[in-house]
Amino acid sequence: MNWILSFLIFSGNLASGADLKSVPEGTYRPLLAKGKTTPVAAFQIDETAVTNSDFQLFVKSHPEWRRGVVKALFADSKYLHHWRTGVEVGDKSLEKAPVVNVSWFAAKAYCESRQMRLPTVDEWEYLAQFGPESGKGDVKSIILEWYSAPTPEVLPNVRTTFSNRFGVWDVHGLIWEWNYDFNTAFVTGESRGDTALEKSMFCGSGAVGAADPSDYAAFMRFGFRSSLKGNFTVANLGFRCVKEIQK
Amino acid sequence: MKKWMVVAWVALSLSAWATAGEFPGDSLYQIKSKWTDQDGKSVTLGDLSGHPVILSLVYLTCGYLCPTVISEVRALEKLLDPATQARVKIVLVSFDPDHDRPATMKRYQKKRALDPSRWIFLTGKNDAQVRELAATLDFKYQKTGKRDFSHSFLVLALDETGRTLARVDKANQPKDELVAALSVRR
Repeated sequence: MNWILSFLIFSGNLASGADLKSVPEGTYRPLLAKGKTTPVAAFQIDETAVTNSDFQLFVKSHPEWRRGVVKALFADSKYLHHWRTGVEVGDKSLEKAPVVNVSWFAAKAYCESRQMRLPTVDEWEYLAQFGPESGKGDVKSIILEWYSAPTPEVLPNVRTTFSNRFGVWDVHGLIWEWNYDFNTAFVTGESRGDTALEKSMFCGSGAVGAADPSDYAAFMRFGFRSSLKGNFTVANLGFRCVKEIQK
Repeated sequence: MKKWMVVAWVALSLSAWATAGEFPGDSLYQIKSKWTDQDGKSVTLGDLSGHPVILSLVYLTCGYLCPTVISEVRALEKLLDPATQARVKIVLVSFDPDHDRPATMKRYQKKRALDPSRWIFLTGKNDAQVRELAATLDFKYQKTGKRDFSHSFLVLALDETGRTLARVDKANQPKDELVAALSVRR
């Protein structure tokens, strides 16, 4: 029990107010599964994306993840370039904004430092189907409105778009988010299965193979993920962490 | 300086370099996780330093593409001159750590008569460890069934410090670039 208590205190400190929300088990229909549903086990997830000030605490205690120190294998040259220094965000207005310009490796290390991990594509996509708790606006129109707007120069704070039925904020409308298994084989076209998958995603006639061909937003997410490399950093790509529920 | 001093100095600096793990920032050997080889020995990727390396990711119960990968790597091995052959390490990392355990890897190596002095099979503790390696290599894989994966094709040539010299991302491609990259490093 003690270790659970100390973990809760520890993660509470580090996440500075980002509570975990419970997401019960459920199913979702993956974009390319031709109508099949995939079960998703229950998990806990950060209420909001990790913020710049959360990440600042992390790099202070983990010098290997500071800008200028991090190895090129794990982060490209734009890593945290929006911070004033290697350890300071240096801009009050950014503190509660989601941290971006972080690589998959850095995001993974942050989550591991909290005994957590990045959400899988299945977990994230499962969560992605739920719109505002309030019932105002459906998820597809929120997404398309967001995609059609340019990324603002200064990202808004977390908790500024909508929270869904589980109390999880900003799943859509703020940033793109890293997934644990972003490097799955969907669209590379390089192995035996990929070519068929690629066809089913991008060729006109093949698009009928997708679970919901009108789900433009899901196509965008799958396309975006497949274009990423682990050390890439992007100005509107951040993350949040997941805790598995021990059975 | 006396000859023995030079030898001692070289040996000392080599060992210091190896133990300090001061590999280039973009070296694959920045990955510090522990792997298990076909003899059950615990190793890090940095243990390969000092050798040119051919590296690929496979899973051994694979029905179709993996034998292709291994056949292609064997063909590449045969294209190398004897001096390079003697120095090169050929490393196959499993992305199915649940099933590819040391005994399985050893059996596979024997069955396909792969020279144990240069062929090294590695398996990890869990998927997270393999995912990390795959993410550094832009290698994509996904479990599609109980023992089945969809995955990319990759054969990589690394220099003595773990930096990528050349790579081939498609099956049935010419190997000239890999051969040249590995051979100049004598």
